[in-house]
Amino acid sequence: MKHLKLVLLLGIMIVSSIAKASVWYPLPVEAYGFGKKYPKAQSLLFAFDYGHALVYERLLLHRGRISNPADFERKILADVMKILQNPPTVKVEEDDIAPSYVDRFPLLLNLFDWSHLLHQFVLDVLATSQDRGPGMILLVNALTDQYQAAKPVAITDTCKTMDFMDGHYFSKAFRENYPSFNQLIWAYHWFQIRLYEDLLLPTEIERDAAVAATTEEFFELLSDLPDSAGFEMMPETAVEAPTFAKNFPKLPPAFDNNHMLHDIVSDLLVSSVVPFEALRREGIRMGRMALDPDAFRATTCGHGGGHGGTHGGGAGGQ
Amino acid sequence: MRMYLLSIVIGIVATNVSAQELKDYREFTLAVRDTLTLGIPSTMGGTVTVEAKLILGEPAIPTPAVFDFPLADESKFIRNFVDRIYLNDGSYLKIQGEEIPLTCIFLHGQDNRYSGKDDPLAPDFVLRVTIPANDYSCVGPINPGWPRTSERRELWDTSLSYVVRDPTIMLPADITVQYRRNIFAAYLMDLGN
Repeated sequence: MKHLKLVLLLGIMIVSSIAKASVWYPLPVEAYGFGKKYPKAQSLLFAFDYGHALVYERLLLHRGRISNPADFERKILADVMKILQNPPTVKVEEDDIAPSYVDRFPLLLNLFDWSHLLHQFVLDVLATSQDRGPGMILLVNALTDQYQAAKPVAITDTCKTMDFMDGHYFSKAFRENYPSFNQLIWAYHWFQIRLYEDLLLPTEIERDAAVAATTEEFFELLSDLPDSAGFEMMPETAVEAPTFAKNFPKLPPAFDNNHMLHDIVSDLLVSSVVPFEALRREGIRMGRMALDPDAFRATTCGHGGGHGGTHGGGAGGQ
Repeated sequence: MRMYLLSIVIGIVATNVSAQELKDYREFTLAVRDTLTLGIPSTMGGTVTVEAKLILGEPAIPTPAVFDFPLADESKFIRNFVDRIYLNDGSYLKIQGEEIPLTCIFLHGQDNRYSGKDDPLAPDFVLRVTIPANDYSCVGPINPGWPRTSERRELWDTSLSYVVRDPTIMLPADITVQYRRNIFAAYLMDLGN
């Protein structure tokens, strides 16, 4: 009886310690089910984490000493391509790849980690749910609620204007100096968004074919960067995944805000007008804006800046 | 809802905790020193100075979580409590001129008053204070998803930890500074200001 009581007590200690956790525990039962069904696409998502971290770390370590950005970009792209062609099969920890970046941007890392878990688990539910109707929607909405409940690290689901991404004194430094990197990262985001739309197709055969086509299309986008991707603006969830946006209206703003925050980090990393000593402080300031529903609040959702390339938009185009 | 259920479970197991005790335990957390200057003796020579500044924010849990550790004599027990309070922006651990954001206070207290202790040197309370940096959700110290979701058992990579044996003076002792997973013993520097 004493032992039982002790176990119970320790259990309480653990439960109490994770009530506000940004570590998602316990994991949803569907967790990483997407990878069982679509291992190639899942590995690519793991590779994106690796690729993001690698680019960020090298930009930070070489900050202020890159005399030839085009050459620098070419070399890292070659390394990233190797990772994409031979992607990891498990999720990588960013501090194993990018310790300097992790140290410099703590709040943003917390926000990205928490948000990426939501991205993953939504994919897992959409890929594995037997119920393709209200039951599946309930599951995704429950994940969304759990995500938003962790207030200190939940990016707001209020729509923001593009000025959140492009309206700062350091904005656009990344895309102006590293156009191929920028297209690569927007291609990552496009791939993630399109998977949501693919997974809402009515039959399993259609879903499997759509995921395979999106994966193939992703590599086409990278075939001759930056021209092969051709994004004129950051891909937006509601534009690239309209069915998904209609079914889960809270998620597109949260995902787009996350993607804009990625672009902000990229700009901070390469901007010559942000001193190295200011990076941590500016990262926290930008993170607070991502959490704040009132910062850069849009009067209407949808920016209309969809992808103007050759690869169409949304599952309906397949 | 989750916190409500948690409160019910706590109520069942730790039935003797009064509202006043919960308030007292929370007061311990609120009384943690808000500025510290620490010295770390270096084998390279000299002393590395580390500064900490804390600006208290909202509680991460409504009330401290309490649990009793039973002793052989069933009428006696050691009471433990855990509390978490967020720190606001502007809180920092300053190392080599860099202000690393401190993000919360994690306090694990031990209340010995119900243990039957008769040694006057044994303190009524022992408070183990950990102040992590960079964890805005205040989840640690152990990664609850480990080992399935991470190879690292310890969630926090940078933190300040110490023990308090007397809440009336809140004197930090046995201080350690963890910096990017390296741990250093430190001492309190009384600069007289």
